[in-house]
Formats: sequence, C-alpha cells, structure tokens
Amino acid sequence: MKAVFRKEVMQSEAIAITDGKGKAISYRELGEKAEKIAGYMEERSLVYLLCDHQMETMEMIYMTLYLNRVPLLLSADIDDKLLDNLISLYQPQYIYCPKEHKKADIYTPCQGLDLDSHALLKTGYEKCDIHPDVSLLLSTSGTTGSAKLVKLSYENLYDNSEYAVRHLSMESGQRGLSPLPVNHTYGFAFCLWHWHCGATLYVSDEMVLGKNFRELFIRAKINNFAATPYVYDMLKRVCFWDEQTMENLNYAMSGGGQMSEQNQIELVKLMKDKFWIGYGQTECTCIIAGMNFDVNSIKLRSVGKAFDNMEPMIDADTGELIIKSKSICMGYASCREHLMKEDVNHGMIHTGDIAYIDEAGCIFLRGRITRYVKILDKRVSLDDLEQYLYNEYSDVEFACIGMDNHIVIGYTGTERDRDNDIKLLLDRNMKIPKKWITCCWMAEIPRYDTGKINYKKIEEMTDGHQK
Amino acid sequence: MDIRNKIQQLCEETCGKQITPEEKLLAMMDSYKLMDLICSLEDEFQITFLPKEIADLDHFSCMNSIVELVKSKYDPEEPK
Repeated sequence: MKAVFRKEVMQSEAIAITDGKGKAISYRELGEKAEKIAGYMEERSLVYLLCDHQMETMEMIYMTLYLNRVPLLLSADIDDKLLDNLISLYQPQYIYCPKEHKKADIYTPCQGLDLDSHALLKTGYEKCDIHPDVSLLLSTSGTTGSAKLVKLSYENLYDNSEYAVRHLSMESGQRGLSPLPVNHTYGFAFCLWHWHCGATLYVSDEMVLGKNFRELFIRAKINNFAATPYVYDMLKRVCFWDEQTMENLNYAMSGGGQMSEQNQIELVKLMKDKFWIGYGQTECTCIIAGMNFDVNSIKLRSVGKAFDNMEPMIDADTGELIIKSKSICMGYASCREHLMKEDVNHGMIHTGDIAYIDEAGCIFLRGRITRYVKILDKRVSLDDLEQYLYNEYSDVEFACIGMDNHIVIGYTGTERDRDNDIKLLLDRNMKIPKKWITCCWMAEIPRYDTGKINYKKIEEMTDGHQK
Repeated sequence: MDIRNKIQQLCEETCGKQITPEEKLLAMMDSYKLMDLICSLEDEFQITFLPKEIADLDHFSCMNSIVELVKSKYDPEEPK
C-alpha cells in the first residue's frame, strides 16, 4: 500500500481526531476501523465524500487515504444538479454522505456497515481504472462543482506534508482546529499535516463568531489554527485573540486570499512570530509559500518565501509564477478516462498568478492570468459560471468577469431585467451571496474577430457597476 | 417600513427564503451569512453590535431575538 502518513504515526496511540466533547479516536484505532471498512469498499475504487464538519467525515477521509481508495472531496451541500453531473461524468462506485442527504434515498447503503450519522452508498457503477499514483481528487472550483478535477498523487501529499510540518514546527502532541471546509485544499491540507505528524485534529461545527467556538479553543488548548482573511475579520469583530486564545499557540495561519495590510500588521503585533501568512494552490497540494514576519521587517502584500520543497521562478515573458516541486499535481481530469492518465506536469506548473520575487526570496502577488476569483473564500471559475448560467438560460448569452469578492455578469436576451433571477439562482445553488454579484444587461456580448469573448471590453462596459 | 419589517427583509435576503418570526435562523446560515446579516443590520440601523453581543449567538437565533436586540440599540432620532 502507498503511504500518505508516516509509518510510526499510523500505529501510535495518540489521538488523531476528536470533537472535544468526549469522542476521540487514536491513530491505531483509526487504522483498525479502516481495515474493517476495507471490505465494503473495493480496492482503488472511486469514492465521493460529501463533506461536513463532523468527526465521522474526518475519519472517513483519513480511512480512504489510508486504504488507498480514491476520494473526491465535495461539500455536503453541493447543488444537486452539479453533483448529478459529477456522478454521471466519473461514475463513482461509492458515495459517502450524511444519512439525511437526498442521495441516501436514491442509492443503497452498504449492508452491515453502521456509520452512525452517515452512510456509505453503493451506486452500482462499474469500477473505473485509476492511475496507481492517484491518491486524491479535488475540484478546481468547489463552488461551481467544476467537473475539472485536480489529480494529486501519494507523493504530492507526502511531500507537501513533510515540508509544511517542518516549516510550521508541527509535532505529535499538538492540537489543531480550523473552520475551513475540508473539501477545499487549504482545509484538507490542515487536516493532512496534523495526521502526518501524529498531532490531534479537533473537529467542530460551531460558528467561529460564537462563544462556543472560543470556549472550545481555550479548553482544548489549541496550538495550530488556519483560516482565511475573511474569517480573521470575523474573529476581530468578536475580539477573539487574547491571552487565553493565544496561550498555547504554535501558529495561526492566514491563507486563501490577501489579507488587508492593517489586519496583517495588527495580527503580527499581537501574535508576533506565531502569525503566518500562507500562499498555496490546489494544484500544488496546497501550501507553496509562507512566512511569520517580524513586526520590524514585515513585508506587506508579500506571501512570504517558498517552502524548501518549492522552487519558484518567474516567467520572463508573462511575469507568471512557476513552481517546481514534488508537490505539483499529476494533472487534471475532465472525464473518467483521464483518471488513468500519467503525470503530465512532471513536477512543474504555471500557477496562473502574476508575481515577483524580491532579493530575499519573498514572493509578491500582483494579479492573475487565470479566470478564477475568490468569493467569500471559495474559488469560483468564471468559465464554469458562464457555462452553468448558459445551461440554466439557454436563450441567453453570458460573460462573467470579476475580482476577489465581486462578480460582474453581463447577459443578453429579450428580457432586460433578469438581474434578480440570476442573483437568486447563484445565491441558492452556488452559495454566492447576492451582494457580491452585479448583473448588467447588454445588447450583445462583445467578441473578438475570432469569436472569443472580449472581457476587456466588458470591463469597460460595466465600469461603475463594479464595487 | 418599520424595524420589524426591515429586519425580516434583511433576514430573508440573507437566508434566500421567506422566514417566520420564530424560525431558527442559525440552522440556515453559516458564519459568512451571519456576518453578512450583522453587517447589513449595522448599516441599515446605524448601530454597532458589541463583540459579546455577536458572540452570544442566541441574539441571532430567530427574527424575534434580532428585533429585540436591534430595538435595544436603535435610536430613531439618530440620522440614518
């Protein structure tokens, strides 16, 4: 079997996962539980894990990796249509989900397997061929349920964990807690790093704004914390960080978006070297760079230095950041057959981010080449969004542009006042709140002679509509 | 529009559906949506929730609780 975790950790009596309320499971027990479940999941089968913030789900993620089954991590509240599309496209043999999920009414649960509040469902699809190196699949855009998946190998996960653990001084005995969704690379990696070094992962579905979350944080003596800049904003509103919450801190990391300069300075002053800025991508198995700046030498807007397993360089023509590393994914899959494809990246990838690197090796991000935006911490593919909208309104053309925390949608058609319908649709099905969307009717979508959409022109046309 | 109706409108916009005064809101919202609602309420009524008021999530458990909290802080004489 190919290992994602260190051998000595998998046998240890240390607690791997706990809810902090009395339920806990050690690494050894998790291994034993996995062996029992192994008989219910065919070897190298494709398993969709519909993830929530429950301990049982974390256990299942660990166990599928431990058993060398191939999980695709998705949100438990993914839109039905998006999920159906993913199911018909890749035809997983199994779906793991909360028992009350709609899919539990459609597919048959594995007989004899009692998973408490969740179910492992058999879809009846034939087993598909998956490349032996593939360990995990993640969606390139979880929000839009993109059918384009990132294929991560066992080596990717192991390499990324080894170096993250080293840089972040993580070790067995430490305790981590994060509100990040585990189906996103950053949330998943946070779990993975803890499991890699034998630390304990706390799982909680408490809202970060609430006093229960804070009480758990203090009671559990949390050492490691990871969140997005927006979550740090929320924590600031409730004065979360104080002597009690920081007493046992090893690190608190902010990643998955650019933090405001003011907040960064405040947090560095408050937490000193415990506060880390991080930068990563799904295609690089999460973390690429990070730094715990000193208050006197802080470099605002920098995402820190590349970790030792990452070799960053800048494309001389485009300014794009290129990364060489063993953590680079094997490539993408857009259909079932692609799951069998060999590694096409060979340890190198163009990140899609425009950046420069200063003389000290600190990376500064300046923009993006690729058409992805972050909306409330979720990566959204603008191309997928256009396609989704087109599928919903086949008589209308769409063109989406955007920046972090705002999307502008240009649309055509005889009905000029579809703004609210479109916003409601995306709010309900994509979980993109209406206030982050601006819609703009246009007589026609501007295109180049080649037929490609002229997004620059749309930017000009909708100027003033953007926040 | 009176305070109650305005709050109902903001809650419904945040939750994306019609709600009743006693309906459990926290089951329909994640932290992001709750924060969104808090900011909308603060903007609308020109009030600022204290950290301990936010951390006590009971204040946002249903529309009636929110109305009570907002009324205790809102001064209609203050220019909006």
